[in-house]
Amino acid sequence: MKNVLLAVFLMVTSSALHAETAEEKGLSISQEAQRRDNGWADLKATMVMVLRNSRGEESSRRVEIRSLEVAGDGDKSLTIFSYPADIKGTAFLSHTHPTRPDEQWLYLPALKRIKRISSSNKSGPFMGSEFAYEDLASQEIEKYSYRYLRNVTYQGQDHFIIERYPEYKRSGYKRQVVWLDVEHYRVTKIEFFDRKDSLLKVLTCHGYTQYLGRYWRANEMRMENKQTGKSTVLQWSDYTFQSGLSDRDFDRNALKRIR
Amino acid sequence: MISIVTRSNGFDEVLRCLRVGCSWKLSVVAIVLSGITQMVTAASSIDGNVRADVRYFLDTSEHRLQSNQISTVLTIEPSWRYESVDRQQLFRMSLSGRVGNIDSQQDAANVKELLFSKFSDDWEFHAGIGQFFWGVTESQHVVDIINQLDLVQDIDGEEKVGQAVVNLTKFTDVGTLDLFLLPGFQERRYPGMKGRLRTQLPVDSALTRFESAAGRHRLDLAARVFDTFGAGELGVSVFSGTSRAPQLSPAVNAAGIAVLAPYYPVMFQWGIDAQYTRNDALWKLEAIRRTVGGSAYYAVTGGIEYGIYGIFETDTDLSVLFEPSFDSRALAAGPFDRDVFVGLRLSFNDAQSTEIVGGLLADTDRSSRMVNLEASRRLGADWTMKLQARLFRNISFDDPLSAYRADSFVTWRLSRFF
Repeated sequence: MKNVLLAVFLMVTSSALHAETAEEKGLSISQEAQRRDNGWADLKATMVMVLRNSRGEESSRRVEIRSLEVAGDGDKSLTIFSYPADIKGTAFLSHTHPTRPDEQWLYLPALKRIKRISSSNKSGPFMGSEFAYEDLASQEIEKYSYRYLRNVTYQGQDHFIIERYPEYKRSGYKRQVVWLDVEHYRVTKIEFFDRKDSLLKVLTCHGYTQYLGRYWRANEMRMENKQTGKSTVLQWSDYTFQSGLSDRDFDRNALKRIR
Repeated sequence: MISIVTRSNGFDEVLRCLRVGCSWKLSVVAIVLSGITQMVTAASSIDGNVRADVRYFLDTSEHRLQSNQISTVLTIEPSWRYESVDRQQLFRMSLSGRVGNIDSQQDAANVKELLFSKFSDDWEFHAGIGQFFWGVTESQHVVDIINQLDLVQDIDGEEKVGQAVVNLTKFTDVGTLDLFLLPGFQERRYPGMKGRLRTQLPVDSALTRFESAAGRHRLDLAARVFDTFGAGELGVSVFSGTSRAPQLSPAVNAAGIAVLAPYYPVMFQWGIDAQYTRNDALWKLEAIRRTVGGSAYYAVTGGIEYGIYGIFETDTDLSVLFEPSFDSRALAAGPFDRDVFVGLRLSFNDAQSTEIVGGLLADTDRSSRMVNLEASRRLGADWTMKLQARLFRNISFDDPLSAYRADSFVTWRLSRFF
């Protein structure tokens, strides 16, 4: 009995002494989400983008994506465009870093030319879509500061809502409000607020599937621009984890193998 | 000094080699063929494009017998690609064929690529006919030397002819090392009598001469080391072989007509190309030291490409380019002796990938100006359209561009991709 009382006393005092701030809780939720997604090593997937303008006209894009998890640094990714045909074989290589600028290269197959490009264009649209480069980039913990807001029930499941503020230069956003489900720490919704703090875009993620008994990936991501009425749907397929990709598949020379 | 696509190609070289039986070349062919046969279960794909170029010249032609018609050229460029399942071997083939209405020299067939590649962890081996690009600048490519240029559609030097090659790439601690054996040389082809954008006197390829006793069969050599240092990238290259650009001198041909005779000297070239990428700016430098016929000269191009993203709070990006060029020869063989290039690129980042590009090349000690304007966009999913205007203005008579003084043009290009 005495021990139980002591335990209760210790719990009360420790939580009083170390009352977690909203910032700390926001960070720890993000770190936990990151921790649960560690160790996937490498990944291949196909992404189809369906762009819809405010008049409802659609056009589509297809890209092959390969990613490599890098311990202690940002991930590496290779994006190979396969549709429309006029950009087939064009490829985009990115070595991301948590704090210093990313290194990026573009491969132009008609000229067989590899061009090192500036990585400071964060907020520009990716292939004319409603997704900005920064939305599709590797989401390292250090790229944002965080604040926990509250828990809500969303789509029948308990969710954390956290706010995150870009800490990198040239973001198009003042802040993002992120919904993560409490059970699996999966992002189910993000509201993007522009530099003037007006709601710009809403992302929702659908059809989460678990791979290798651990890693959750969405089959579909819908981005709606609330200011222009345009939208983009990303349909993901052919997820392949741990197929043995190495640094060599993500170096500059690998671009020349594409086409 | 306008030249057009050559009709001969590296494939002829391989066939010639098979006939005369040069042993090392044969072993390369054997490796290539064995690689191809191993790809029975390989993944393959076919793609390419068909396009029409309709070109209207703004001024009446100046040179004798030159055509005043609207030029129409139809081009087809199919390519095939086979990759082994283990991704260790790759075979690529890319062809180009075209027909035009003005000048028989517009009709051309070319093997752009017929390349077998083998990949390992720390090396790559490529053999066949290939295309290579070295360099960083946009207005001209002084370091880039492996391929003969294919200037039939445009004089910008971005289109190339395939080069017979054996290339070994080795990944080392000091960067990526590339070694090239280049058997077989391809001559530049020039427009015929009727062609526009030609030299004042037509070039007669029947009068072609080479410095090398081996002529077009000289084995040229090249090497390059390239490395990335964080924000910086540096390439150092060396080339020993037949100059891709000929020296043209007046002559009288067998028919008694005044023409230009091409002479291809042997040259030696050191090159460096470097880029430093910081924030929105790409700082670029290309320089060569070239020794031809016992005398050496330098050529340098460098400058900055600066990106402004999301101008006027739109999705449009603007890139500004500024590239001065210098050539140590008193009167350079090209238009880049003491010139400045200023360029703008507007990318609208829309669903149709609309882009507008403008460039001005201005000679700093003469009045000569060359202006290039291009606007392009995708139509539906499989088509693209491009409008281009190239204007030659105030071209002085001693300028290498002077033969084009009356050749300002507007081109409409429609392409279908498959």
